[in-house]
Amino acid sequence: MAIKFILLVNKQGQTRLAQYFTESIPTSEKRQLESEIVRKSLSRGSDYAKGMHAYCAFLRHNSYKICYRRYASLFFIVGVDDDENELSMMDFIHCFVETLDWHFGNVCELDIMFHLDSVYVILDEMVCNGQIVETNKRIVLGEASKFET
Amino acid sequence: MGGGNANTDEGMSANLSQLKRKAQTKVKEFIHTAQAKREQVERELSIGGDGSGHQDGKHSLAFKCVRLRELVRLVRNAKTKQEERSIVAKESAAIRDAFADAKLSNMFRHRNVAKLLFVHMLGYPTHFGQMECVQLTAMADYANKRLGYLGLMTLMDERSEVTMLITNSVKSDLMSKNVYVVGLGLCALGNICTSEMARDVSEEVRKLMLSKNSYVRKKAALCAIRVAKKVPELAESFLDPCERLLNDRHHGVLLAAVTLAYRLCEGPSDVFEDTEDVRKADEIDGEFDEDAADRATERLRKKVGSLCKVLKALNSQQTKKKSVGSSSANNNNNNNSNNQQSEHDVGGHSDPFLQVHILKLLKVLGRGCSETSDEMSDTLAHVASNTEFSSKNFAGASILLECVECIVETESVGGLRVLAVNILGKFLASKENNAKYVALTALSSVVKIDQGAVQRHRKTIVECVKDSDVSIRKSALNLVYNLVNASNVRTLVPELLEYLKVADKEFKRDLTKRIVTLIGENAPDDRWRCEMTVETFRQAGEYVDDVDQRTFCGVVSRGDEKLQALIGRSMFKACVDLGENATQQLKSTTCWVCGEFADCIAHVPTLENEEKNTVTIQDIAALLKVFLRDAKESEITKQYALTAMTKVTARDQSQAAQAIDAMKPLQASVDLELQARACEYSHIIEAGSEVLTTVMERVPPPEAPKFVELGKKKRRKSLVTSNARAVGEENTSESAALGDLLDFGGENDVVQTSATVANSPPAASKVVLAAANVLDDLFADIESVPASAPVAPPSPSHVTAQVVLKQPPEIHHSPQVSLDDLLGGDVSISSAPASASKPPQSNSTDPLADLFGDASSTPVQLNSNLGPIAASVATPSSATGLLDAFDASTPASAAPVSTAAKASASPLDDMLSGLSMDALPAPSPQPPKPKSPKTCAFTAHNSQPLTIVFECTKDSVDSKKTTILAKVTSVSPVSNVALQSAVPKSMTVVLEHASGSALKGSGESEILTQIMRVENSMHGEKALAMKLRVSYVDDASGAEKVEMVTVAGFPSKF
Repeated sequence: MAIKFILLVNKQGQTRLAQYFTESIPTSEKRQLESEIVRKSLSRGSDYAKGMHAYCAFLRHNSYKICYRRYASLFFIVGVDDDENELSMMDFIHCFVETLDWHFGNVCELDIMFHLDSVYVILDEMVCNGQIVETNKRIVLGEASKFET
Repeated sequence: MGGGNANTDEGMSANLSQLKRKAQTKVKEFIHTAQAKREQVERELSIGGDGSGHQDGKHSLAFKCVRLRELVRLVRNAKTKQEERSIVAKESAAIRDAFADAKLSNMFRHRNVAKLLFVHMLGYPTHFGQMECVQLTAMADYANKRLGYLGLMTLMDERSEVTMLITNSVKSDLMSKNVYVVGLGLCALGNICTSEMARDVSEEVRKLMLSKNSYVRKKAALCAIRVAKKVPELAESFLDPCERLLNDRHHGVLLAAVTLAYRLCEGPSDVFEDTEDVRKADEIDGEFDEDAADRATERLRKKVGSLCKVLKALNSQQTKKKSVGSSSANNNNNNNSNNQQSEHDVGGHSDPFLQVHILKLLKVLGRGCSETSDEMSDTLAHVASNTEFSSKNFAGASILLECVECIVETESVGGLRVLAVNILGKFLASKENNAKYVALTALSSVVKIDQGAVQRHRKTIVECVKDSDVSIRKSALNLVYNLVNASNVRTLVPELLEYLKVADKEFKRDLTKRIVTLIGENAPDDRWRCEMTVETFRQAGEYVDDVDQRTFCGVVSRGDEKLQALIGRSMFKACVDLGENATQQLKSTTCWVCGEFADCIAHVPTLENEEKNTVTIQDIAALLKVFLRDAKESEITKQYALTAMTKVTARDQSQAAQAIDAMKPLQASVDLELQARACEYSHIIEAGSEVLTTVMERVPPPEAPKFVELGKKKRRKSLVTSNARAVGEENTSESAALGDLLDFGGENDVVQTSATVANSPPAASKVVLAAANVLDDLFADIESVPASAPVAPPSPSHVTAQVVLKQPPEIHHSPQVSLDDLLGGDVSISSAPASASKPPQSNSTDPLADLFGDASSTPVQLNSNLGPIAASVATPSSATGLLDAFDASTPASAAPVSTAAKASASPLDDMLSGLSMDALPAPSPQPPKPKSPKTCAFTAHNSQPLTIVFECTKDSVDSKKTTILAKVTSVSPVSNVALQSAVPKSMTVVLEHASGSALKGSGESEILTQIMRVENSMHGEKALAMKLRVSYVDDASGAEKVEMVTVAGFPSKF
């Protein structure tokens, strides 16, 4: 029951945020892992536009379960281990996006790029060592805002 | 991000976010002006510091210290990857320079580390920034400290030693009066601490878990997870605070506490997750103490009541709120406590994350304990029936899913299980693909426990195999595969075959393989099996692999004339129907069948239920001629056709002229093999009927392949052992003789056994159990023996009972396998009436002598029966024991077999020799029993397709040292096979290079070996223990697979 990594990738496959909660992936392999997963998710995602429910949001990659959710041009991809609840992860992604939305006010890809450090801080308040810490947006932002000043 | 708010309570969030945004813009403006001022100062400083820097080419100072936003902009504007690389390289160099310069370093450290975060994310090296992060963490102000820790957590790579350096500063941060600083320290520890650090800070973490501040409490609880994982022996010390935190009212704290509790109960299940190789295995400090997790579970079971209460309250809130919410949307804002709750809401469910986590914890606590399961059943029923499932809403579905898993895995009552499976049925029927997918995954865990319940949804599941989504298809297929049994195979396989017609290309291979396996394992009779295989050849011949092709030929060849005729005719028809589209596999198999059984095909009349379809020898010859003539035909088909043609000619000499004619062109073929055969066969045909018929006689049926039988056995056994109660039911369905047998094992009412049992009263219950298991397995195997075979109840059961009694207690890990094969192998015992005459009361009779008697009276049969055992890698130890015994009395018949497996002393071996020495004064010679075993061999891991056998040898001088020879075999082609192992701290392991990494999948004939040297510093006190991680690529499907095993076969005193 743990999140292994969180990736934010845009439609072009460029990583916009990557956070790993496992030491079993050496740094050298992270890029490769990212590109493989992104390719898989994107290839499914492109058909997603045809119908809302064309594909389910889960796939398997090696020993990870991958859950992804698309918001405009950004894919939020979460890799979890076997006994994690996928549906709950979808909720978590949404919760993360909403928190970003509160913080930036209608968040977009550029916000995340240019305020990478704040996004990391917010994520840090929400996930620690792969475990969900807090999902209350007010509490998360209350803590994260201390960083800004 | 337009549709972001779809799931939230619209009215409220709009209200709040408006306020929020206003406040934010203000704050931002303020920050902006502050930053602008700071920048100005910086600019002045830099110019001042550098003088007129522009002139001496060091204008780069300003460039060096561009802000993060500037760097992002530069990279974003980069047109090519090359350009991006050069920008990053330049920037990295500038950052390095800045770090080297003390003054710059202090001024811009924050900014540079922030930039490094970005550079790291782009995938460039950033190791040089780690020290700066350490320095930032030591700074007094929060923003710098925050970034320092963030940098550490993100930039740290696995080899980094820097973490050691922060131990002290983290420790002082943990003491800080500022709760946020404490939180930071805990967060960092939770993410990156090593086992040494974990030991150092565990005391503080424990204290902080009881802090007054909820922010600190939750972070401390999560940090404790990491500490407990790194140093398992510390885990127990967190039980007390964890128990207290479970009473907390703050959602975040409760969530963290529940997660911690879950981890403590689960035990160190994921030792390998963070240890990529053996070297890193050392990072886990301490033992794999499975008992600690059990103790934790035992203690936390007391909390089930209060957890249930919390869960029920959360769950009722959402239902209540829904009714309130509909009457007034803004109601939530009025009440402060209600407001607090509602912030955790997702789609109308109050804190689904907490609910899901509590359910997960309940699952672990209730597993294997009926009292606890009873206690929670009310709450589970409440959650299952009151949580709303709608396809738009993940929150409700995730709670339901978790609830179902909890019900299934705990010892719930039948009614609740039905409810759970029905919920999954609802998921399956929904249009939402996500729900479908999770239902399928959940059902595949249900199917292992309760197959019957899942069978009801068979139709929907089969529908899912045809889904357009590959994830769903795969999991549905997996499920169907588990659902098929002898009773429904007749309906399911044709459905799958039907689907095979329309399946995607890349999916066909997997599907075909599965279908063929299902047919092989569950076929009710040979005729059906062959018919279905022919159909598979027809639909997807190109995906049927060689082994299955050969297996099929074997089945046909072992069948009777009617079967051969029927199959020959239908294959012939398939070939003719498909014409040009027929695959090489179909054609070559058809050639073989038609060649071998041409006379049956032509002369056996049409069977009942068979389509009228007459095929004459002339027809066959004509078809073969087409194959031989066709230039496009593959060499393989031609080779088969050539032999078939000659065989057909041998059955009907009038075809000779035509055959020779057809072979002529091939006598000059460029393919040397074809050419040679064509020449030879022509001569044989010309040599006249006598030679021709002798040479081209029908070949004897090939030996049945072992892997199919093994697979069958394994499946059956898992079915039977998973439900011990099934034994009784099976009993009634068997013959009276078998019933006696069971009674014997179950009640111990036969004089002899009760006497022996009395000798070892504490073991008695185990014996009964084990005996039941043995009989269980015996049943599984006897089922496959024709019912008419005379069964000898007293003698074999006598043997099994003795065997079980002599078994040392630790053998419990493997006896099922070994005995299963012991009994499975010598079907000859039950079919040989000779042994039936021995009454169980005659104490002086050696049951083994019976065995030997049978062995010598039916040497051929025994040999063929033992073949699979000896060769089966699964049980080399039992095989040896048994074979040694046979070897002694019937050397002639068993000799060739016993050489096949030359592993020495084994538990079973000991057992057998002990049997003859103390319990039975039999004169039969036995191999001497070694005092303390120096070597042993056992199966460490057995899965489809890999089997790993360990052959352990003790060092002759130093008994601490053991050399393990791991032998890997595979029944299907695999590549990139890699073994990794981890041992407890008290042992060390060194892996030598493996002999290779790929296997062609030819079973036992091809072995991959790897030597492991284990040194156990606690020899005599601690038994060897090892975890094994096997990774490989399955060539058939191309999938990478990773399997983890705890090796449990080491003898205790080894």
